[in-house]
Amino acid sequence: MNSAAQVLHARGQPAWSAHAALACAMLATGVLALLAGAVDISIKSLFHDADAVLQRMILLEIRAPRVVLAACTGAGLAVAGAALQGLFRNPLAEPSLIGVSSGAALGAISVIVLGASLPILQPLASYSLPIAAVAGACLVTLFLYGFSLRYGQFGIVTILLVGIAVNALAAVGIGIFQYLANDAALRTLTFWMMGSFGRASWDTLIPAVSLMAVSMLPLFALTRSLDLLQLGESEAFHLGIDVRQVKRCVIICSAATVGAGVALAGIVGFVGLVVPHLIRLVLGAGHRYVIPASALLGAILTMLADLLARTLFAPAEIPVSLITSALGAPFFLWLIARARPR
Amino acid sequence: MSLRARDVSLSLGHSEALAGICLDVSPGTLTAVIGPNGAGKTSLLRVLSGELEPSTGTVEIDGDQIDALNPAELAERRSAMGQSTPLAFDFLVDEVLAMGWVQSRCRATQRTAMCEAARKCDITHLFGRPFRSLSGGERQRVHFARALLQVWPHSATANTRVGTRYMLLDEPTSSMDIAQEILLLHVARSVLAHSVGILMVLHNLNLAARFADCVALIDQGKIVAAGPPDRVLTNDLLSSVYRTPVLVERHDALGRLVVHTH
Repeated sequence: MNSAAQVLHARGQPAWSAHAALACAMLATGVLALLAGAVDISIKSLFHDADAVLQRMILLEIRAPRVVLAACTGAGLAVAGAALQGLFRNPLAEPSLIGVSSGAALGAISVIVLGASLPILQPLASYSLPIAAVAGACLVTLFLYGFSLRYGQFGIVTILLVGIAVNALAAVGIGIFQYLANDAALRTLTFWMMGSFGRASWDTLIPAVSLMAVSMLPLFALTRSLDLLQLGESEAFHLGIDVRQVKRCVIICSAATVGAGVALAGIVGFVGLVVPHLIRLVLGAGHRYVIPASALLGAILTMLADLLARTLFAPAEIPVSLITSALGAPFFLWLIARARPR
Repeated sequence: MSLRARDVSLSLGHSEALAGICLDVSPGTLTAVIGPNGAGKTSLLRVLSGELEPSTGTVEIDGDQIDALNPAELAERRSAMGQSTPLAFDFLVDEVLAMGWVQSRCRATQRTAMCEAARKCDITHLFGRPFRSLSGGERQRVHFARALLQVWPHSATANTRVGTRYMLLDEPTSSMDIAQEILLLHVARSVLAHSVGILMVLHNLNLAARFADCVALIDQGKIVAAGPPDRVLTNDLLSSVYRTPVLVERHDALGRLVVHTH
């Protein structure tokens, strides 16, 4: 085998061990997140202690849904971020920065506020909330894509400027709903703006998580298409990609993933930016590695952020977005400094 | 068997980019498309590749209407190299090359073909380097190798590829030095034997004179002349189309046409 063949042969070997390591780390983080918290749970006491009933209830009804929600939301945001970055061919396309998350929040808030005045919506809340959030996210993503088609390829910074405008518009909508909301709804609204996994319960979790899973899966199958799109849309077409169909699929799937996450957890910033970038630094730019590894690392990161959020000042909780933004914002600045066109 | 444009016209906005183009690219031949800037060369390539739908007329690939084939089917029958867009992420050279592989999923076959294509195009030493760190000419070599890989002939043992393939190349040598230009054209000619037909937009008329079997001279969306180089590359035709005095002479020592501007 000559050296070129060896280079090709070696490619992909480290990626598999990295995936395995990430998967193990995710499981370990999950167990840690289940056991640690305001009430510490030890595995032994679950079976022997007198408080076992209480501990089991905390574990199964409070902590488990919360950890599952954190993991799924983190995985979803990271995968959606990676896919949107691939689609826009822009390393700064992140769901909360470009307005996709705000769109989802606006959709969800409209249901919360209107739902309070329209009692019909109440029993359907665990379905109408994610659906409205997904619709909001889809709307924003479609708008962004249409805008980028009409006014040429987005430069690396232009997309952030458009994102500022979209976020501002969504803020107007959210402001109007805040003005209309009653006290109970207002309290719920505050939580969207900050992000929290504290409201997770199996009832609301199952529809949203199934939606997230269904919309995330196609993105795992589109990794080659996302790679080829990096050469430009015409080259991707020449290489056999049905570009319009791929774009439509990526837009809808990533928007639905983000929307379902936002519906339950509110806006959790920067996960979709930080995670795919770290993965690219280690495993390279190929989406067949970036997408699955982002899912794993995204889950790890949000589970840890949630763990910090509820243990740092236990028994009080801080919004999880404070943690992810404290990590993500400096990282973002570093990226902007690096992203000058070469 | 050919890639054929029949009476193709194309309107982009209000202007007519192509008008009444008839052109045949046969397997085993290299056709050079020449003409001044804005003449419609790139538009012609985009219509022939199926990327743009002609306003009137049809494009056929080996007798099949091009708009009846889906992108994946087209990709197995023709490759194209456009004027490339910069990458947003750090893909490695061999990853970019691998994007050209549209055939069987067999990894070993793919690796052999990639190594062979890379050796032919002299990019083996670039494997493992970030694509964005390459110079313009090196990037073009990688993209050319990718287009070559896409029409790569299967080895005789694997299920042999039947049918002809075509390569559509838009100014593949525009950033290359003279040695690399010549290398690319030699590689291009060497694949003609595997029932590949090549259409190439060229600005260097001397390359067209030396390597093309057929030259199509385009001006204002129309084919002004098409045929063997010595019929198309004439003083009168070139001078009138390029609107500058052009002198073509036969170089006896080299045994081919040489094109000068006054």
